[in-house]
Parts: sequence; structure tokens; C-alpha cells
Amino acid sequence: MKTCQEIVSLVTTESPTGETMWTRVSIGLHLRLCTHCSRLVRQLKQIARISRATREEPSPDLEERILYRLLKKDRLE
Amino acid sequence: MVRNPADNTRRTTTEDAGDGTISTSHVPQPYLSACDERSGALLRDLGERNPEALATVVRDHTRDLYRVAIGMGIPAQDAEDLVHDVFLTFLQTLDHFAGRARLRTWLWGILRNKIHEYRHARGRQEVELDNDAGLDLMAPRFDARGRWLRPPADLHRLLNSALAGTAIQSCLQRLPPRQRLIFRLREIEDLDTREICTLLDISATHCGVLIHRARLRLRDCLERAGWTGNQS
Repeated sequence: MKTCQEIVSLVTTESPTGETMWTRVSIGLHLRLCTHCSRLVRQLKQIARISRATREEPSPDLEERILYRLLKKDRLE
Repeated sequence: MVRNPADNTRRTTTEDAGDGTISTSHVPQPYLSACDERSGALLRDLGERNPEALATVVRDHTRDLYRVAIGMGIPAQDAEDLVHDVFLTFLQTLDHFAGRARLRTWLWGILRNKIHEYRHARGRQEVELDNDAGLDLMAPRFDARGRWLRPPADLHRLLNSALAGTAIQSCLQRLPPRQRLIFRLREIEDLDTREICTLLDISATHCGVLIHRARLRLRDCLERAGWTGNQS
């Protein structure tokens, strides 16, 4: 049985090898039972979602502008 | 020399893997863009300065290159110029490329060098190492048996308010630079962890630890902002 501290570490750190099936099941079960850990995870997801919503999208014609500059330069050379 | 990482997998899920984890699941699958699949003919056409071939590469890769530049802290106008310069350099060095790496990897390598030159030209330091290495932000919140001593406060009021985005941006600015950079690339620009590691030239393990610290430190900052409520 993993402790709350271990669960927090597991859900916030991105392991290069990924988690084993057993670890994922263990995390899922823990989060169903632990209000504090599940609150933390919920908040982190919400923070990520809100952060992403603040992202400034490049203008729709970005590709065309760059292409135009590249082709124009090619013509001049 | 552009490193060719073993990153032949792509991010397939974002936040919710269904088991509560917020890390990414990686499912091995070919990671070739439409561009790479026909790279032989494409390279030949590019060598002949075929506008259609150039358009294909630009349309396939511009947006991601731009996002990386923004994620690396380059201002929007300069990011567009950098991306333009990446394609220029790509065309000039086409003979060296010759399909030896994935096109995407090659372009990202050029971008990495451009960003380095950009910072150098402006007398800016590369993103320095964190000064809180080894500091475990969460340790004081747990007892010796790993149970919560100081559980996470309810952030419902803050995270559901119209000011949530501003509060997060403000806390993001207070993160150590490398953690801020990784958070931007991972959570805001939605880049794959392996690609971030390659871009920053750090190990996957270090990358994972920095993401862990950035997430928790950002949340901690929001908690300290004091907008706690009681209806999470």
C-alpha cells in the first residue's frame, strides 16, 4: 500500500519509463479513497487546463507569411 | 550536430489517463508526419526549390516550431522571425540533412541553435540551473509515515474565478527559470516530455523531476495567495 507522499510524487513526476500497470491501479485506488490526494490531483489538472487556456495562439496566416518571405527571398537570390 | 533521440512515440493522452495520474501515457506508434513519409521525393523537390515542397514543410512544421520558441520565452514577433530563419537555414543545409534524421528533429535542432544565438546576441543568459535542487517542497506536509500533516487547501474560489489565469501567470513568473520553462513547454504548449528533454539537453529523469517541482511549486504559490474556499 503506497503512502500519500508516494502517491503525490508518482502523479506529479513524469517517469521516463512510465508506470507499471500495478502502480497505475494502485494510484487509481488510492485516489478513490483519499480525499486529500484526489483534491491535489484535481487542482493540478485544473491549473494545467487554465494555463493552457491562456496560451496565445499564433495568427492563422503565420504559415503563409513565412512561406511568402521564404519564396520572396528565394526569388531575390 | 543534432541529436537523434529515440522518440518514436507520440503523446496520445493529455491530462486524464482515467486512473487519476496527470502524467502522460505514451503508446508506441510511428511518429512520422505526412512530410517524412515521402521525405525522399520531398527532399529532391526542396533541392530544386519547388514551392509546393517548401509549402508542405512550412505548413507541417511552422506551428510547432513557433510554439517551442514561445515556450522557450521568445517574444511573439521575434519567434516568427526565428521560425523563418529556421526554414532558411534548413534550405541552406539541405545537403547535410539528406534524410539522416527525422525532419522534425532536424528542424528542432536548428531552432535550438537559433534560440541560443538569439540569447547570445542579446546578452541573455541561457536558462540557469535551479537553485532549489534537492529541495522537496512537499516533505514538510507529510509525517514520517508519509501521511498528510498539512493537506492541500481548497482552491475552489481561486481556480473558478475569472482571475485564475492571471493568478497562475503571476505565480508562474515566480518559479525558478528552468521550472517555468518546463511548465510552459509541457503544460501550456503541450509538448511531449521526451521532446522537451532533447530541446533542453537534459535527462528524462531530470526533466520529470523539474516538472514535478514546477507543478507543486505553482500550486503552492496559489495556495499562499490566500484564495482558499470550502467547497472543492
